[in-house]
Amino acid sequence: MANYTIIPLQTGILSHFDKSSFTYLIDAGCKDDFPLLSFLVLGNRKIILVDSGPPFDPESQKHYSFFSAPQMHIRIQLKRFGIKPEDIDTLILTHLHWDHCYNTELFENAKIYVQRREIEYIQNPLPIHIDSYSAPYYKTVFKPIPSDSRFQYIDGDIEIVSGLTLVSLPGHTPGLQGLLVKTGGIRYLLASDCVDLVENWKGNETYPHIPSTGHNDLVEYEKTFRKIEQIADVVIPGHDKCVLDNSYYGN
Amino acid sequence: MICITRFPMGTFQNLEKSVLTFAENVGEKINAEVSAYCIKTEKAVVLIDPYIASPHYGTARRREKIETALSMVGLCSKDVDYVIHTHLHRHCFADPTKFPNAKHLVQEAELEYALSPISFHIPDYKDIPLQKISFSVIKGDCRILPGITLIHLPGHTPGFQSVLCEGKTERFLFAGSFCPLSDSVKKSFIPPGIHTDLEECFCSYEKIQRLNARIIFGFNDMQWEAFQWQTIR
Repeated sequence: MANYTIIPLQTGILSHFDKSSFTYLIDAGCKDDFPLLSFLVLGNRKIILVDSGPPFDPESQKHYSFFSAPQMHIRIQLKRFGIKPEDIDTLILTHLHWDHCYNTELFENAKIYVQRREIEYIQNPLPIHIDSYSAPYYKTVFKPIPSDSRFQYIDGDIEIVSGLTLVSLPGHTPGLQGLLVKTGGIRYLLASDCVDLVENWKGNETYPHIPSTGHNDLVEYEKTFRKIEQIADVVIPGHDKCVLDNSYYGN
Repeated sequence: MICITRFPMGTFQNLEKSVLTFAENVGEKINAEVSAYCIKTEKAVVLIDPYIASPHYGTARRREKIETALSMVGLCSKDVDYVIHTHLHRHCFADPTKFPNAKHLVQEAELEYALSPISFHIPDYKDIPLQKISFSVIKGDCRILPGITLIHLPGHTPGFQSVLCEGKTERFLFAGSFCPLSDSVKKSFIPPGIHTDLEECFCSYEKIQRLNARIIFGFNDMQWEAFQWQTIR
């Protein structure tokens, strides 16, 4: 079995952001800073990027009230490890919210994996979800170009290489997927926004797990939590600053 | 002729408003007045959600007992023929033993869900002795009396139902917790903060729009003139 290294990359900060946007109906009014995260997964002669980050233009930063310093640009983040965008052979878009799926034009040599359900959902999202999928610069929701052969549409769970499995985790969005990384005998799950914060996964005295406020179907979300309990040893959240406490995970 | 009277049951104190308006008004606190409704026809007496208790996310201050409210309109609890449970959340669940002659109307989907909710909704249904109660189970929309129809509106809960009262010219929809505040529909539809399925919420709201009825909101945050009483012919 191959070994993998998982490296968190910070691409921006949600500043003074309401915590209850992540912890559904809990801590309303509590403000904090939360990172926007992508992940680099290295090993088995593969260079894999999980999420390509937000749009970095000033208009988008203003629209979405987030901050991204120049050194947080995904290109600069990769450069820290001597990697150029064209070196990425696999790009996994966990879902198509604005802070996860921009800059795909940089990754010209990558296969880009998206769940088909996510593509279908963005054709006609619920009114309250349109903004999460919107791109102010393009004035429209994100839509891959049909002729773009880099995109691979996935239905459910699939092992893309030995030890790396895309896992369908619907709930936050209908087509959210995580990446399960098996390395050194441990199963790490890059859970993206299915589990925004450690608190979402650990729960509290009332709830075993706490859904994200961004969701469409809580019954489906509950099934996803049950699935994660079965498949993962370590759950790495999508917006918790504690993720950055470790420079890497795995081997 | 249908006579409808509002019974102020009490108030949810210092309630986080986004519990009622999903992802909106976050951090804003309100006092929300909770009401039951008594519908009296020539044939029957109907009550909608005649109870208030503290939800797990807040505190309720009770105003008056339902027996007192009924006596104000010349009725007692034995006179009640139907109790409509819009849903089975504990904050509005009326003890059936208080109304010995009433049929207790609940949607089949609600009863099923209340017996086996997802973990996030367990506190909403906690301590309700469902197994001991003999419900009259409804499936979908159902006219129970002339001019009074139960309307199934899934979303807030799978088996949420509202009550449509209609006369020759007037139509009122008692929307309960599905549309808790006038803010819920002021600009565009805002789903209730507590819900099972958002897509169902939006489908149910489209259904409400097709009913072409005046919406009576579930709670009064003192921002609008509350419904008091009405006679429909």
